[in-house]
Amino acid sequence: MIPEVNIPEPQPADRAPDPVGVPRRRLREYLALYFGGWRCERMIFALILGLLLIALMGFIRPQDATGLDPDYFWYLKINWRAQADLVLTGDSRAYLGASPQAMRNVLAGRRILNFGFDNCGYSPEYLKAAERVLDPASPHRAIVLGITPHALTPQASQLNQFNIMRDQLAEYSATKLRVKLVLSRFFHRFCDPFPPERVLGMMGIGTVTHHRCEYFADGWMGSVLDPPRPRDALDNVPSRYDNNRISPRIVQDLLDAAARWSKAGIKVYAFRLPTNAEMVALEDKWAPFDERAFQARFEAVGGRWLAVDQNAYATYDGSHLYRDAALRLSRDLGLALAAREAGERGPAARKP
Amino acid sequence: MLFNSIVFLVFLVGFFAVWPLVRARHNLRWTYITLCSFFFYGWWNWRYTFLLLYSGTLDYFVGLGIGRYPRLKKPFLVLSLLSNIGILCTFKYLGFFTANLSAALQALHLGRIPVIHLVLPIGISFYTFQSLSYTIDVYKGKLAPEKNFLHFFAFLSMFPQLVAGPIVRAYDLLPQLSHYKTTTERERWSGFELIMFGYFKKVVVADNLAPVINEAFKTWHLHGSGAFWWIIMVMFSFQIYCDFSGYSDIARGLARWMGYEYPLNFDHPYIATSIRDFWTRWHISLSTWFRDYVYFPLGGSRRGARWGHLNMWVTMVVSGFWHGAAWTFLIWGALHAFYLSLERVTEWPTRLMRLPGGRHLCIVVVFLLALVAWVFFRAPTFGQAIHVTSLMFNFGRWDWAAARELVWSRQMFLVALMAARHLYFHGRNARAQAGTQGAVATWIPWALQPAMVGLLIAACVFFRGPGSAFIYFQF
Repeated sequence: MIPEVNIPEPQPADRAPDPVGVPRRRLREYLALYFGGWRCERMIFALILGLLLIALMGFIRPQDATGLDPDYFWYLKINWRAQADLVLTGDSRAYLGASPQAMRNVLAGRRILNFGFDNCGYSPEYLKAAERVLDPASPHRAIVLGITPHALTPQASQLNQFNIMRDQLAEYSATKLRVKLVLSRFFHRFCDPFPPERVLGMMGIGTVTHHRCEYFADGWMGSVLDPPRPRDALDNVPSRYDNNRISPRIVQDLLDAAARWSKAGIKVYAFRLPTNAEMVALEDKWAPFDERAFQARFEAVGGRWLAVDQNAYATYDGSHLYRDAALRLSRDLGLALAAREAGERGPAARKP
Repeated sequence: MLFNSIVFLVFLVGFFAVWPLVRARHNLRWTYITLCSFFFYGWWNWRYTFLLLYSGTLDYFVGLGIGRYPRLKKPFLVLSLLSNIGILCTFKYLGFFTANLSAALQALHLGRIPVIHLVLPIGISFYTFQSLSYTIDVYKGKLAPEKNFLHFFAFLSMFPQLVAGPIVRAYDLLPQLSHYKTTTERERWSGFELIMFGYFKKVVVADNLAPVINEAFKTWHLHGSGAFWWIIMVMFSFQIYCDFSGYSDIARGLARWMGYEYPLNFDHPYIATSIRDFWTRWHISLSTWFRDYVYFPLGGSRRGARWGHLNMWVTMVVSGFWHGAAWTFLIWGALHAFYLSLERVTEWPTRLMRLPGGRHLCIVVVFLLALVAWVFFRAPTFGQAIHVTSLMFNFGRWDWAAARELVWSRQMFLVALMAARHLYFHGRNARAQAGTQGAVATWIPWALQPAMVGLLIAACVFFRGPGSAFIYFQF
């Protein structure tokens, strides 16, 4: 007679039985979840490989952004309140094109900030925010409007980076920002997004383009495109203004604000932000923009127009100024403002 | 807490570090899941955890009541329905109703009423539906009432699916939660694959597509080319797919790590060969919910074809309204109902299939139909949706120059990548592969699979788009 034998149910090799009440087994099981059978743990291989790739990419990627952390740069801008004698406004041509530091070298003692944003349109809320940057107690309150035809279009008002940044950074508490800054100091090269085109460029597929930027606490971003792509912006002009002409309403709002500021004792200057000569002609045609007419209307409401040579400063993409050109423009702008102020104070003020 | 945030990654590490120590004891396991899920939910706004607590507590006691007093089961069910739908209506639809009522009164020169805007608690539509499914199933006798409060709350609030689905049925998840199991390497790996692929879909594909689409809809009146809008809508169709199915993949992967299985929520919807097929592949947990709890109780098609159409229209319009309190969502639902009716009457997919290459033609037609419906889903106003649709069909304004830049963009490459993945599954048993396996193609040799996922991890870090919340959070 065959004796009755209790044969246990076969257990899958990697499925442990219930470990309740068996601390040792539970500990083993706990460790097994993460380390058990590591020789075949694909998850660990994938993680290691992923981290290696991130580290490799982090070390070999070109470091194009220097200076302040970009988020901190925008955070500062958005939160400026009552701290400037002179505020510069405008779109990317303004925040890439005018260095407050270079202007300060000419206009000594002035607190100057660059309140320019990407794609920035002169919407009423942007104009109000720019006004808030001025110190109400300052005797030299002045707003300098950097004019581009695009800043007067509806698209620029709607896609204004000022609005985007204000909404995005509103969620940032001081602590969150501090943590982010500390983390980004150490990890930014491993964490910051890196467009696939640039990875392909590094692998020899296509051209590697470096957009080298330096972020400054006064709101200026010095930049260089290497190698330059002089037709980049020019080719997009017709499509940029397709169904997106200069809005008379936006122009009127801007002039109304200038009139209001002038009445309130704020000096309002404006100048056409210099760019490539071909770009000027294209924008005049497609936007369309009549600079003389705009200047006349601006001066009629009490504004002061600054004449800037449109051909004196080199651009890297057909629109934005090289860092060196931006520094020269800023100095020239400072000199023009100083001369204008001296002229307004009378001949005596011009004497050394 | 957003899945695509650093805070969530820290939360996840903490959760899974403790999980093996607590999962063996029932009450400890359920308490742990519930507390962590409430913490996860309350991170956004702790006040709304009370809403979840209220909804769950009520349905827990309603379930017990139905079990104990079967003769009173109808009043109990009505109480649960009124309560859950009442919460949903208050937070989600009150603004819509008051705004429309006010507009109607104004049109009749009868004055106006104040429009009430309440903050919409994240995930409210998901957890109220999940909770409702429990009481309805208990009412129908499909499920025994759950006696353990913690067990019930672990089911209702389990964090992977809490805020954006999939809507897991009580009869599916409650029995799973009554046990625990250690996970195998294969399960951990497939869960990990799902999580990483879900992140790739969300942070690389959807988040890179979002700025282009948002910009187009923000400046909609500036774009007059039909070609431009077709391209934008192709992009949007993949944005919403990757955004939502990415979330579902991450949720399923996390559940798999815990030793549980969530149902498949998306099954390559853009290879559907009919609209009916589309709805068996898109947001499956929601469409089956509406089928089981709205369409079938209304009578389905048992009372004849006409009633079948009517019931289907009601179900689809309600489903559209579930997505958002706006006329555009209602129209989106109605448009799909129209497609389904047309399909039932003409049986065009069956006829088209008979032609050479008919299957491919069906896929193209269904995709285009879904694309047109997506306009109403995405456009913030009815007027904008009509404007965009009319441009799409105005072939006189087919200006390719405006669309050329989009066609050769990085975003379009991502769309092509996802479309290629869809096509890979075309003709295969996609559901079986996507349901039981991970997300990475199974034909890849074992040793290369970690390399594929390693690449996905690096891609998520370096190629991610500007971060944003998941679209379905707003529903």
